Amino acid sequence: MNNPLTTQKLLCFHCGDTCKDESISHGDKIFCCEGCKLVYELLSENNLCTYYQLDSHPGQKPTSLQSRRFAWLDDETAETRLLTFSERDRASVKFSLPQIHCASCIWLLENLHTIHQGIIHVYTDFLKKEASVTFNRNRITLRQVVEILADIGYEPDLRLSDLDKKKQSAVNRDLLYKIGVAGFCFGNIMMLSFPEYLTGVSDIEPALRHFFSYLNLLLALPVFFYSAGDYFVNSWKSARMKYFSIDLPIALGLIAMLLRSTYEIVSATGPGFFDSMTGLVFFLLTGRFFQDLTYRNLSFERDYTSYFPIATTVKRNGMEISTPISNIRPGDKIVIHSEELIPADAMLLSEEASIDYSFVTGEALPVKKKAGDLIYAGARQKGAAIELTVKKTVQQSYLTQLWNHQGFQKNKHASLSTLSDKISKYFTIAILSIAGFTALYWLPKDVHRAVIACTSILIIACPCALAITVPFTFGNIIRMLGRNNFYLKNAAVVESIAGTDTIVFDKTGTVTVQQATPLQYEGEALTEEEWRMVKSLTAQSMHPLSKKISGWLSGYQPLKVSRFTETSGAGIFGEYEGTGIKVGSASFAGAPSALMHGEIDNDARVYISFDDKYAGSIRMTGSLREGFAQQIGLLRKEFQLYLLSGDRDGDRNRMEAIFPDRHKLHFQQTPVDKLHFIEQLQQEGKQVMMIGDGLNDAGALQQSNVGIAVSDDLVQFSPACDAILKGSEFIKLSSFIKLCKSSVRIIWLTFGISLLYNLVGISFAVQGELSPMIAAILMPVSSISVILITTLASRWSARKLSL
Amino acid sequence: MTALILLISCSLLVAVGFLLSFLWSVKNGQYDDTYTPSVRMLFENELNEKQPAEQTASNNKEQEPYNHPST
Repeated sequence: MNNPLTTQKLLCFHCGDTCKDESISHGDKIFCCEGCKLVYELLSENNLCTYYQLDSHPGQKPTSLQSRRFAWLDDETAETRLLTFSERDRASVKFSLPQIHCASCIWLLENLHTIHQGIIHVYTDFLKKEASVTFNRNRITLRQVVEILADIGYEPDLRLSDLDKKKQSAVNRDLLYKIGVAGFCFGNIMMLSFPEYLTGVSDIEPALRHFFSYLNLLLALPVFFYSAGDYFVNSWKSARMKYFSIDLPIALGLIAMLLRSTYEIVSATGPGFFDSMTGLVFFLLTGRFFQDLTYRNLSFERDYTSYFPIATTVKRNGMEISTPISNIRPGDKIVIHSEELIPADAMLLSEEASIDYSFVTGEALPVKKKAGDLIYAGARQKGAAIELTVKKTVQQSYLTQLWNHQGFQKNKHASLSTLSDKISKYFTIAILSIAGFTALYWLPKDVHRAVIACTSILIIACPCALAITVPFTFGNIIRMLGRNNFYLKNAAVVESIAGTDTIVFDKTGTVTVQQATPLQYEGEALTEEEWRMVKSLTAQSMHPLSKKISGWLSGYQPLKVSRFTETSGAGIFGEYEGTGIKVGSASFAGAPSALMHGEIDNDARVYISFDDKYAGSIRMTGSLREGFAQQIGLLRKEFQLYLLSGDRDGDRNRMEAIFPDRHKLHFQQTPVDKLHFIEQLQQEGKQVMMIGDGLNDAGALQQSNVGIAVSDDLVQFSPACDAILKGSEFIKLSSFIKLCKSSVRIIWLTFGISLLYNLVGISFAVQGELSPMIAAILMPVSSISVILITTLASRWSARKLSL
Repeated sequence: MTALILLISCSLLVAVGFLLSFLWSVKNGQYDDTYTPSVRMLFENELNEKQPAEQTASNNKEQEPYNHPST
């Protein structure tokens, strides 16, 4: 087995990639490609070289010029849909720039106005990887702005979905306002109530006491009506649906507190419970804030529109026009260049195409298509540009129709009864009956006491700790998983993961990875010169396999090869000093038939011959994701495991060796098959977790109880899902599941503790002895201790799992 | 004791001022992105050295939300 030599590493000054040689340079700086050099020159002309001082090699390799077609941005409708703000000559637009990765990026983008005077300013949001650009429309067009960004290596990621989501408001600031108001009132009420806490100091002047009480009442009103407003609305809604949410006892408690306190103050019989009430609201809202801190830069709601480009090239009357894909009609002739997505189901007009369907079916190897074949939307063209006739509109295409399936219509977590809601059902009934019995007990003896005892129960039993423990525990767990590159959409997902009993894996891209493939050479040993010839040939071809080989041989210097020809579907040919080299399929390179096993073991192979004499082949295996077999070993004890694959069953043997049950492997599954398979499991009463990647799993991910997208590029490629797992962390999957399970145990523990507090409180309350003082101590103490316990316990269990 | 009432009223007024300024800062978007400004802050000097206040004047007058400083 030969491995390519590695030469001494020369790093590109701009992007930090390894350079082939020192041929591309500017002054004493070396670049890996002309693109990087151009960016450097552009920046140095504009005195922007500080870019390179802030971070070493911060640059982004600019995309090749031919792939940039922004002509459609001149289209007025596209422009108005993209602009976030426009008034007279001034316009703003927000771009998603996934390339943003360091402080240098922020600096360069925010100094964009030095490159072109028409740009007024740029404001970047590092965490969201977004930049909003304000520019003068008289001096620069939107298209030019995009082109400048592309020139410096930050090509905006413009997707179909960008056109429609612009109206969404960015951040929900309501909760912050509410917390602010509640915190302010809580603090001041505490201060004004302080004299009351010091028992024995009952000799406060009545005038002062009155003043304090009424001030408290005044301060409590905004908390009750504004900050706590959601609790009343939610509990009213759920009560009408005959469903007990945790909000109901909270709302009852708050109402009881307000009425009783107002009565006490007006009748001058006591100070009221406003301190407890506002504190409670403040803690509850803080808990919600804590839980809502999610990953703003990740999108969990992607559909096909997030994947498809906004525009494609349409050929009309011999002219190639860049057109937004929503305007494409059946019958249009479109031109798809290498590496572009086919946006709608279309018929091939060109002779041949090499179509990568991995997006749609999960099939890893490119498929050959002949003129007249129907190609589904979502496929990617590899190789030369092709022409197609559109058969269906984008919305009605095969893949996009998946989104019309009913699985996508329902909001799957809306009906989910969460842990706290399940408990609160019994809790509410228990509290209401205790309050009822207490009232019945006291009513014949002492009406006043009956009212006091009844309201006291509602006040003290207000499930503050109960309502706080869930957001804090799940919030903690989400953050700990996030630190390990496992990102959950929201807190409900933790619970769904904990309840899982069946796990379904997608094969291609999830279990097997193409990128991590080690290449292997089999055959007679090649000399260094021969390797260099192979390198120079493959470096000139755009075929994905050639690119891979060329990358693998990066240590070799290319030679000057003449008579280079590429026969699509066969291979590449070139000549060096009289020697003819062929790199390509077995028949092209003239490999002996005994060696033509590429199709059999599902590995991609590239064959090499010199002067028509077969030399050997380079083999690329779709290798298993690191740690997969080990994870299966750990998971098989507790879960039912299934494997779904869009591939032909070439990999069956290897998968059977790992999976416990051969009947649970399913091959040649279409995206819709996968969805139905999950549905079927659910009808058997299973709680299904689906682990997949690309769009072809989107239906299954959506249908499953927990859909986890495995992705190596977190920001870019993850379909609609509940959680995103970084590919390299797959090895920790079983630990993640264990942590989620332990979080549910932690919640039960804290429920128990808060029940204890409640029992103590209620024992005072049923006797009608609950003083505001006891309430004011008991409630914050219970809340804070519960927060402490869940934080410590979840840290401890994460450490135990070494996460 | 009336002095106390007066003092407490005053302190409450001051506190309300702080509450309002907090609400204003939230509304103004100062809590939308809590990371980038910490990096941006370090660039300001850097910028002024290179090209002293080139185009500050032109666009400053217009009403701009906080998050679009024209440096």
